[in-house]
Amino acid sequence: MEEAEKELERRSKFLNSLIQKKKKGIEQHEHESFKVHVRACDMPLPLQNRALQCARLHLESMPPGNKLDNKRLALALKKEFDSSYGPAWHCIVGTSFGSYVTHSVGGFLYFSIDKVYILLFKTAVEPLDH
Amino acid sequence: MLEGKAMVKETDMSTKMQIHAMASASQALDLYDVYDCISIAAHIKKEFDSVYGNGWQCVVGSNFGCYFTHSSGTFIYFALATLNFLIFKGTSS
Repeated sequence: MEEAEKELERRSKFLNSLIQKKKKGIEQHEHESFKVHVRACDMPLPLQNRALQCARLHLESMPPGNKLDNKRLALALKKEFDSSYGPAWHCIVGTSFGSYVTHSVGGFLYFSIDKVYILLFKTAVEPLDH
Repeated sequence: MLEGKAMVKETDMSTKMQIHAMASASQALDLYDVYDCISIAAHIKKEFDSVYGNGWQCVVGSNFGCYFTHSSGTFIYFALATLNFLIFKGTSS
């Protein structure tokens, strides 16, 4: 009986380790499928990390196989940055575009995540005329 | 010009300025290849900066979505040839 218990315990540990390895493998795969490349940047590191994290979370929250909604992701990023770092931020998301912009100092980030390119930049806000 | 007529999709811009935007885009397409989106965007933005003051932004491409804040009366989104064009003024600098 004691031998049987030991054998069961050994098998249980083995299965647990298999499960853990599987989970790590899946996590690694998920991480790899959302590779991030910062392609051009004029932005403090904390803001960069914030943008990358926001974009990644948004992509991960989508059901697999769903087509990316460029506008929704752009809106999410712009809103987050407008509310956290003040207006006015602009965000462009897509797989095929070029742009030429003027941005505030320290407010420019161009990166790709998976197959999507994302441009996030800030411009100063002029006071409203009264 | 080889391009067909531009189709305005959305705008908050005077008619005169709209026409200028589309003419500038058409001119850029004469100068640059349709794949050179950055040069096309640069051409248009520089034109608008010089004529209407600094702070213009331009995006050109066949697949993009965006969210932005623009000054009043300074926004146009149109299609020309195989490309979409977004021009807006984010600020005066």
